Amino acid sequence: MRKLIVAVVLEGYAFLLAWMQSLGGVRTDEAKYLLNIPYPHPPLARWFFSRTADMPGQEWLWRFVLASLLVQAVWLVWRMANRQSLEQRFTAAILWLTAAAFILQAGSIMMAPLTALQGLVLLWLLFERERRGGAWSAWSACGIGVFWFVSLFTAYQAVLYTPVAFAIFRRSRFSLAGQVFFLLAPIAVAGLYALSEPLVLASFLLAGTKDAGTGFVQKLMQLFQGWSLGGSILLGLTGVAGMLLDRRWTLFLATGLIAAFLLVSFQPYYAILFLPLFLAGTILLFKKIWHHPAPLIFPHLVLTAICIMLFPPVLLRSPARDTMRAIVATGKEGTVLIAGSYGHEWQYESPFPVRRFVPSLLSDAEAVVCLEKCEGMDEKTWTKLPGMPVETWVRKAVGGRG
Amino acid sequence: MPRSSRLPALFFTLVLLAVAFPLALRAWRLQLLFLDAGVRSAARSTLEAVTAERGWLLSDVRLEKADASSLLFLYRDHRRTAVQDRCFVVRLRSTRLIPCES
Repeated sequence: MRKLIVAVVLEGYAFLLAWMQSLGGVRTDEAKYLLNIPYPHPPLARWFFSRTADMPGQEWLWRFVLASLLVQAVWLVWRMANRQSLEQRFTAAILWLTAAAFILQAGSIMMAPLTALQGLVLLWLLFERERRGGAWSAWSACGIGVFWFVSLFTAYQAVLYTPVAFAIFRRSRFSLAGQVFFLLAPIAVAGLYALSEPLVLASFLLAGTKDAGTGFVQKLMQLFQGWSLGGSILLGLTGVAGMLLDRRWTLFLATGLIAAFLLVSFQPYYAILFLPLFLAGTILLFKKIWHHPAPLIFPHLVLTAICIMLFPPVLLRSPARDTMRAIVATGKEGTVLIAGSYGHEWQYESPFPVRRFVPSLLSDAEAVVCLEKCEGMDEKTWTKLPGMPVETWVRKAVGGRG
Repeated sequence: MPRSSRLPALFFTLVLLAVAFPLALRAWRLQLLFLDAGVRSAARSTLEAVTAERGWLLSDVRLEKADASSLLFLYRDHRRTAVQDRCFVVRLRSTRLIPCES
């Protein structure tokens, strides 16, 4: 009964986090996954999201589901600190639930939080095996292999947890060759997916080179930002200290891989990839030398607040939703042309075909959105909608056609 | 390998193969894009020209097959409502689309 009450309270927290994310509307990256647009990641998660595309509350459904998964994952954190004191377990749970990256990402429809969750599951499996001793049975190892494969087919960045996965397979009954097969074969199949989708490879190249002009000092600052957000600074320190004190080189290596990844291609949302590793290291630190860690909670919360103020979330809504609603309200049904660079959230919010503005397509369009200057908008044929967040034109009634 | 380990290993391998096989077929049909820089460059400029002319997004185009003279692709106008894929063939360095059915 007590656990049920805790689970319900946690769901309330998940609802709050999902609501916070909804304030910014659907972002372009989220629209990619909701519409199952085939880049840059493999199709597994986005295929599921897109099955609900025609549901009115699709965005809210998945925000709440993803926030709930991350919040309820605290039960795994609780298990990871098994055989430690109630104070240590409670502290670990609070640190997970209130880390800056957690608050900023839980409820977003992105792959990074999902990958972080999968990373936490891998760490839980590792800790569980160590706690019980012995080795994984063949079928258990097979199940873990399938989970590892699922992780890689959710998002490529799961490969950053390869050292953790290897440490798990090393504790199976398979030979070394079998362990390596379980580890590398899924990575190879995920690589094969990239070869079968040229757009994925093109997006890798773009992501890998977009920061090419960024100076080394700025890259270090970005890494510091990711590190800080990942563990609200404090968890980053305690996590690495725990890894080093307990000589957990696999965890340290995985942390290093994430850091290297952030140096090559930084996005603030990747910070959450650090969190499971920092938390695992912190739990090890508690076990090793820090038996009364509750005083850590208050400074952690303060630093979380500071991190969020220093690196605030972008809550600026795209004008896509309001603009498309206004176009629909005019009763116009037909192609919408958009002048200027636009994100996938415009496709998400539009019930009509969306095209880039090309003058030759004007004769077939019913609405034009000008994110940059539009050419050829004849006021005899087109009406500008008043009070719009961006310049928006709709075709006049039939008598108004030129 | 002990007998008790063979069945799980076989099951795991079959799962991977079930996913890998169709991917390998797709990659095979697109191999010229990786092996031939000329085809790759021509394919890129052709798709850019086709999408620019029609106002399409490149992410709505899914390449299915590439040979030395033409590309076969699916166009999907990604929206929340159900939309059919449309299949086209285009000759390299041209922007004239031929529906696959013809």
